[in-house]
Amino acid sequence: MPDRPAALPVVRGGWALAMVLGLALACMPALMSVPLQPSGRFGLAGVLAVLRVDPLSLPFVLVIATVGLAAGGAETPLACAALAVATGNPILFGLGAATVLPMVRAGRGVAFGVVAGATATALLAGGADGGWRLAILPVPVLIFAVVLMGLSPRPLSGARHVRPAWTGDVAGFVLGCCLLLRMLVDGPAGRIGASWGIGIGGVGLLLAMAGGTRALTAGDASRVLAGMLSAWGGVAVLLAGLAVVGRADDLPLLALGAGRTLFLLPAGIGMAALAAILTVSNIAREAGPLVLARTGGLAALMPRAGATLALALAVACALPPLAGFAVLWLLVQSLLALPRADGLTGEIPSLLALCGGGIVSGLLLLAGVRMGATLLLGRPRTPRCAAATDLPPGRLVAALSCLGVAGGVSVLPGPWLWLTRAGGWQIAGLGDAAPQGARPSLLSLAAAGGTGTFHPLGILLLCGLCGGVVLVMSRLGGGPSVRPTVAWTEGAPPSPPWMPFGDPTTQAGPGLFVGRLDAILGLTRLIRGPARGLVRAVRRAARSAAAVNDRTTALTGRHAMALVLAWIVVAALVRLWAR
Amino acid sequence: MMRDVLACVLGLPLLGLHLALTIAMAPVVRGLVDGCVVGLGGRGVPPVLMRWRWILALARRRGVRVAGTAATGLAAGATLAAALAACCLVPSFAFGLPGAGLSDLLLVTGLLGLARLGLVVTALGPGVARAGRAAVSAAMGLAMMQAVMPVVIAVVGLATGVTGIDGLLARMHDADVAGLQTPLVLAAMALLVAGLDEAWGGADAQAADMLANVTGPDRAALELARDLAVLAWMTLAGDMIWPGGLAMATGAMPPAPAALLAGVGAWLLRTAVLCAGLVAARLVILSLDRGLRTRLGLAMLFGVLAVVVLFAGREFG
Repeated sequence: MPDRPAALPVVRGGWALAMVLGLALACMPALMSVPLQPSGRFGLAGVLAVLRVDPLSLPFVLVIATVGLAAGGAETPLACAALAVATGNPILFGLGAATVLPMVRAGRGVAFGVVAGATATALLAGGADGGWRLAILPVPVLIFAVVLMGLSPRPLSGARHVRPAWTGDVAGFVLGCCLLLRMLVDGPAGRIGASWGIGIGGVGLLLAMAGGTRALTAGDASRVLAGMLSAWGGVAVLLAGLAVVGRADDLPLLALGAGRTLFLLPAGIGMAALAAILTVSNIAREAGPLVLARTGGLAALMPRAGATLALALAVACALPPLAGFAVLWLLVQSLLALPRADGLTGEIPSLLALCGGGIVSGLLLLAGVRMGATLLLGRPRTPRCAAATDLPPGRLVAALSCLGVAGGVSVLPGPWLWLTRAGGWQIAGLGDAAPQGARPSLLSLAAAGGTGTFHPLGILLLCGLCGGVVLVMSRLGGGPSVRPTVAWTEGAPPSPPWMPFGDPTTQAGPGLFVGRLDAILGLTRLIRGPARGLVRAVRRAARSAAAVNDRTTALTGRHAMALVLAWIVVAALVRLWAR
Repeated sequence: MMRDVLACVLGLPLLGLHLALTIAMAPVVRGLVDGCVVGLGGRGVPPVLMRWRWILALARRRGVRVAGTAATGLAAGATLAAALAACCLVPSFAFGLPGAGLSDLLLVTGLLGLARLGLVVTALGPGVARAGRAAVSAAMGLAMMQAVMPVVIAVVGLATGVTGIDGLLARMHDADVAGLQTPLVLAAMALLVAGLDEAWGGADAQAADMLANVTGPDRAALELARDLAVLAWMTLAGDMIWPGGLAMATGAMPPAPAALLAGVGAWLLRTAVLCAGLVAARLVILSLDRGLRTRLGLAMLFGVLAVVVLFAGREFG
């Protein structure tokens, strides 16, 4: 239906209406807490009770409405995801998310996800006093969220196993974040212990590292973005684990900090990833498939689209002071605020998590530089790519609007946190009577443990001021202008812009990044050597075990009576010794 | 409110002085280090101000920009702006200046990383093999060292309870820091090993490869940004090692002139000592590529050692 041109404006209008209603609910939280009149019949009140946007759903509803508006309104999974997120009941939410799952994912994992979702929903159906049932809830919820967000422990990005990123991935990412909060933090009313939180955080960190590695080794731009989104999904799981620890150990500020960071993720990173996905799909129509080994120089050929993609990558790579960096900063501060046992031993998990966070940040940075360097910088590697022309501004509006949202949240996270403040208080278990320290500041981000404050707007102003000083100094210096072309022609006719000299395939390509890292760290040697040794050891042990089994069988067959007698003697001796 | 405005107005000249001194000192420090390395290698001692003269000469020269790299032309200015912003946030001779609330350890390391990334982007712009190869190595080093920074920040956060640079220095100024000195020194060493690329042999050759296709004002801006980054790393580590030499603003009033002079002297002394360490490192350590793994291990070792010493001090001391 939405593919018909006449329906598109209607769908867009619907998304805009959903966004406006969400904003109204966020600005007037009293609307969310209006008690519904209990009535014996299933009427309007019953429908409203099912589809009731509570504070925890609100940030995700707003993000999905923005995604739907920017994506052109032709995405059925987005509509279903919005409907699922808008249900405040955890069981109905689980059913909705399980319905959306086959739309946003494909493959064998989906069946596991649906089964895990059904299991989690059944476990939650027992209510808050579910006893042992709620004690094992995190396992199916984690599997459900992992499948929904497309996370995988696979470190390499083979084309068979990793799908290119598309709009549905953002819907899955947002649904996954909401699922973790809705089922782990909000649903079981404090039944899930801190040890589960630490376990969930550890799994999230490993998944984030695997996602970063996939982004670094991916062969084309869409799969790099899929890997980056996976890495941020792992960070979301880690943050959910921290929120669980905060709830279980009665540390509301830790839970609040982790929850707020989880709200920042879809609005900052999700929107930037969506902008990158839309830009990459638009560029691919002009420049052909964006295989990293065959493209290049798009910053010169497509300056508008290239700048949009570069800015989206800068947010997703956690460059300061943008939203990705803010998320990592809040993550580090939340890890520093973790409750500690006495001594060094109690410190080791948080130190390992901090180190893992640094590795994820490094992998994301390197993946972003690799993609930007091979796609945007340098020279085109094929004539097909060299023939690309820039996109008209109209085709970049959707990507730019998403980037605007991500940029706004990056520079001024305060308004977004103010809109979603009630959800944060609900995660922290503070209710409506939140203390003064739990209220978000409009201009800064505060650390969970009170160890620091981050002012993105101030940093941006400082950088702008320094840039202005540099500009003024360069103008005052009055230096001669830059020659725009190289002086290497030596009388020859001017060469085309993609080949001023030499062969374009000699420039630094995508394989060099991975190869250098492998050469420096010796990862291949490290993985292949012990893995081969392990396989050989297992085979040798299996052969030895089979030989021992054969000999024992032969011995038993030949000397059965002697063995029975020997066993009786040994048993008698043991009994005597025991007396 | 009025007190804050007064402190800001009175502190702005000091902030300007800090920035001017930092800009003036950065190429001198690099020149001093290069001169010592060359002199100890028995190849004659170049003048300390040679690097300043070179940067000024580059700024006056007409630039060359390879075709198709207009988009990366802005990278030079942005790199210099990021380095300048980082320098603004690292106190040199006084703390408590305007804008001090913005400074955070993770943020400053991020801005200095951004300055490094600007060099990488400029080198990758023309699509030349040699510069690209050097840029990939530099990006690799930058990404690998990201693993160390959170550990260093954890040491600082656990030791002092804050991660903001100004708050950290204030705590070390006020409180009894007998048990915190050693872990913070080790954390500063980890920071230097991980962040200061110029400490490692082959860094100059790598930078020359990266910037071979850039000249004129762009090259001058990038060279100045490199020098500023070196001085920022050294100043940050020096502040963590010996914060006692810094002058502190009292209330809305800036520090007394005598305290300011003492602060400048202490900054020069700290920087000179760290320069000597840098020269020793450049003369002794392996080449950059071979050393990346060693460097990561060494930085991590310093970080872990700082944590161990911190907890050992709490347990036994």
